[in-house]
Amino acid sequence: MPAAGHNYGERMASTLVDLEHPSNRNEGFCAALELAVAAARELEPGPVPASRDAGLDERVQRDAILRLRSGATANPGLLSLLADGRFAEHFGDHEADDRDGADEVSRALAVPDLFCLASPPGTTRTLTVLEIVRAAAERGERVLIAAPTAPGVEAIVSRLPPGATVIRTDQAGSGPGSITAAADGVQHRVLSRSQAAARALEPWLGEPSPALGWLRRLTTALGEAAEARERAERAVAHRDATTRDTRLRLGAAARAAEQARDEAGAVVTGTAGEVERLTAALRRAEGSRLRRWSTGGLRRRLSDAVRVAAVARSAFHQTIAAYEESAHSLDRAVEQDGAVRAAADRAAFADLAALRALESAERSAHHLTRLLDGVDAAPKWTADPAGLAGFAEHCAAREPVLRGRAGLLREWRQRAARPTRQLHPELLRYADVVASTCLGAGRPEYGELEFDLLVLEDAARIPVPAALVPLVRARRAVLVGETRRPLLRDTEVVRAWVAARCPAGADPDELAALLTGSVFERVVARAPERNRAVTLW
Amino acid sequence: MTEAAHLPMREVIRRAGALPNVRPVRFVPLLLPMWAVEVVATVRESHAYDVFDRYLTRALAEAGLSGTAELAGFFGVEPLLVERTARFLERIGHVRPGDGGWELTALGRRSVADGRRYLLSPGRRMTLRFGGSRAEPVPFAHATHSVWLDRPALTLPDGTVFAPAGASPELPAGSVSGLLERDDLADFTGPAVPVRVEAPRPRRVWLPVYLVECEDDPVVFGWAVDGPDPYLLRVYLSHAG
Repeated sequence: MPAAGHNYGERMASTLVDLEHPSNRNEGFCAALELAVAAARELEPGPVPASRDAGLDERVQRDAILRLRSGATANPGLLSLLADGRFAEHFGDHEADDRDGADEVSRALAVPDLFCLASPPGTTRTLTVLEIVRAAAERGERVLIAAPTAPGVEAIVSRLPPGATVIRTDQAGSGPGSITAAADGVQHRVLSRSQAAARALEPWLGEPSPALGWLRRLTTALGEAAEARERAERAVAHRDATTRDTRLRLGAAARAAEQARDEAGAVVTGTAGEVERLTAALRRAEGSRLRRWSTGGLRRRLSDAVRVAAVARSAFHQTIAAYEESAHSLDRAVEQDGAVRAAADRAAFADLAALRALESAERSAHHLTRLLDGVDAAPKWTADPAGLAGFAEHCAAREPVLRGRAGLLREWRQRAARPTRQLHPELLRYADVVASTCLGAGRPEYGELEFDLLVLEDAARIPVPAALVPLVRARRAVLVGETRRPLLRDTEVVRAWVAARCPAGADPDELAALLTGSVFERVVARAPERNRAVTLW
Repeated sequence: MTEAAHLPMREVIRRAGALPNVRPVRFVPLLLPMWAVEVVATVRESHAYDVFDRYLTRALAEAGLSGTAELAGFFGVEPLLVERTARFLERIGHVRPGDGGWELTALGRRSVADGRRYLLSPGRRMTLRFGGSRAEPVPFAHATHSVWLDRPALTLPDGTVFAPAGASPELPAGSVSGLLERDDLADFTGPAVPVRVEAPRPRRVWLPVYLVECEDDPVVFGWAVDGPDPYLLRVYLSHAG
């Protein structure tokens, strides 16, 4: 008999307590649960087959009762529900839930705490349970399927549609559905799915990485290109200055010819102006009676002026030809001058060097673009200094991130490549569906697991203490079972045990009910209409 | 008679006599005045990461990834696994929804930097202890392995009477907050490191020690250390001025 039970009984026997007060009632219920666990050990063989470790089974039931008593249950109202039959208020669409057309699946998923599905074993029940599990998993809920025995679990799990991640905690070894198989599957998927990314990121690994090498080449080439461009610009400036100096040095004759041309042009302009002036004066004299007498003199003067202008134009054309010849000679002389040719060669070589440096930067940029392909978003760039510099800046900013990414992925794949049990807790924590026997759900390694929904199959064969093990881990539950099943234990045997062993202060009726009745019978009898449903064959 | 709270005098005499280069002159049982501050703290507990939560946090911190889909693609796992892991990390305050993905909180960054999954637990009652003279925090080993007296009186079964070594000044107002700001805070509080405290209630306590006056420098014996205790010697000297 547990010490807690003794203490409780002694305290109750010596103190005036309102047994019907909810807190005392709940405490009494918890004490009766502990007594039932201890009694079951003495009354076995019971309905739950003896497991490999009966001590462990008893411990997980006691742990569940402890969680129930301390309020550390995923459903905070579980104790009141089991002890007093107090179900949570349902703030959903009652009318929709209660109408004839609403199916059991929708109603089961709509209740905030617990739903009882009374149904005889068979295809209808199995399909309903499968649909509840499928619908809950589809909503993103984590579902725990529990049954009194492993074959009961198997009957449900084997028919679940593919897609959801299902883990059977009672499946030993690496059989289908076992946690080991699930971990193996995850590890294989990790290795196969991340292979391409790992290969793409490989050039970003190392100190220095190939990618960093290309980035450095790009940066170096851009620096060299900038320097070469500066040198080329200086060489061009030097070439131009040399050309100017040489032209000045060799251009005396050309300048004299130019001056003669300009002077001849001025003479042409002057003589042409004189011709125009005399022509106008002659027209005015011919149109005036008073000046008609002067037309003869004007005509003579105009004739002379035209002759002089023609001579001037001829001389001008000769000076132009002389100037062009002189300028052409100067150009040739400048072009063939040694200093000018040397300066021009230097400028041409400097420009070529600048172009080659830029081409080198461009090649590095193309390499980096290929290394970014499939790894990170590569920006568009142009093959000019500004475009390449912008691309280099982008790569320099992303390189540490991609190096970190490559290193992390390599570590992750190395971890995935070796067998490990360390993945197991997380796989259980994040699986869509976990399936277990009732008592298997309470193993110490699953201590922190919680679920959105528990589907307790064949609940009419499960005593309350055993059902508590999965119940304390679920925010909501659907109990599936059949009504009017035989009692879990012989009533007379239980009564005799209770009469002989029930401590003072404990409630013998509650204890007997817990030893003979199932969790399904206890709950379905107290469930409101909207928390239960009946299906037929 | 007070319960046995310290080594008997003869044991201290034996231990002092066994020390090389120590020539005891006088053994003085003393009660050093100290401070105990009861607080209700939010403590940071250190846990080991699992596998995926660690890598997911590192991906957020080191790899510039944040979206559920890109994280799933990177690790080669189902997006739902990423989503559920992130929700778990969100529940314990390590990540929060960010711009189109997840981002680390300060607690998450601290955790990934230290490689430990820190959890914040509010409402933890704990006692912080300080020296009576300079109000310096008491090392965790001394805080946990010493006997602390609520009253300045102690008589051992062998008749040894411990006398208070004078009074201590009031605890400076900023002692607790100063302790919380120290980088070596865990050296004084143990693995459950307080990050916030409420309702600090200081009270005077006394620490029984043996002062062994010697021909040369004195030594002090306490309960937390088998031999002469340099920390207690410093506390005694600071108190003696």
